[in-house]
Amino acid sequence: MKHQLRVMDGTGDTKLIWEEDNEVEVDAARELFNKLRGKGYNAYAVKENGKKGELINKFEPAAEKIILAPPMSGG
Amino acid sequence: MAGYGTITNATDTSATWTIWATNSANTTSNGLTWLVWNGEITSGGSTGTITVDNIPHVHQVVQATVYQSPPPFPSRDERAERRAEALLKAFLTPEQRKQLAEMSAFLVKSETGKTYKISKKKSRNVTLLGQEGQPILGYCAVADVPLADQMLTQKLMLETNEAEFCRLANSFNVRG
Repeated sequence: MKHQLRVMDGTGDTKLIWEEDNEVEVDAARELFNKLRGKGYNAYAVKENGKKGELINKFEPAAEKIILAPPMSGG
Repeated sequence: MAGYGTITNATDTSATWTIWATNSANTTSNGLTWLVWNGEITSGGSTGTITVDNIPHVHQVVQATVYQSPPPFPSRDERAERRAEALLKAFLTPEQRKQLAEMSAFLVKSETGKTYKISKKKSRNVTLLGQEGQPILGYCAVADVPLADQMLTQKLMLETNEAEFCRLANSFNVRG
């Protein structure tokens, strides 16, 4: 099963895909996850069709989809 | 382009052109033959100077579709917004997608059970609604991403971390 990391950015979003049994892919996804969390991004484990997401602080290789959203500020 | 010359007798197939100014190849001893080949008399009489339209006439009308230039290639911002909209829609319920299409906004139940309306505009676009659906308080929280990404971020925050959303957003009065 392919898992997705969707990073919101100026292009809409950038997608990173990994498979749980592929150590290299998992490490790459974890590294990006940690890097962006360090920049204040919020991470959500999500499912499609509007099912409620879950705020996560640690990379979960088993998560089907993770969205990384940049920090918001008062407008 | 018109040729011209002098004909002594247009009705006589043996009439001759005495002068051709534009193309000596058209000089012929038989003026009528020249007319059949090259055009028609557009002025002049049976004798004297006449003007000959020697451009072949086109009788066939071609019906062609009007050329329409292709739509401009979407800009980088437009492509980003389309991608963001696709991502947002993937994470909305069918009901929320319908609301978005019909009223450019959708409703979200927060983690504490409150209802918020997220509107399709860049700022001041989140409204806390009362039990009757009346606006109670407005919130403004923005992110440096396309609008649809911002709306998805607001939805996810309200569902999972409402207190943090309300803390960082600027609130404003929406009641008259």
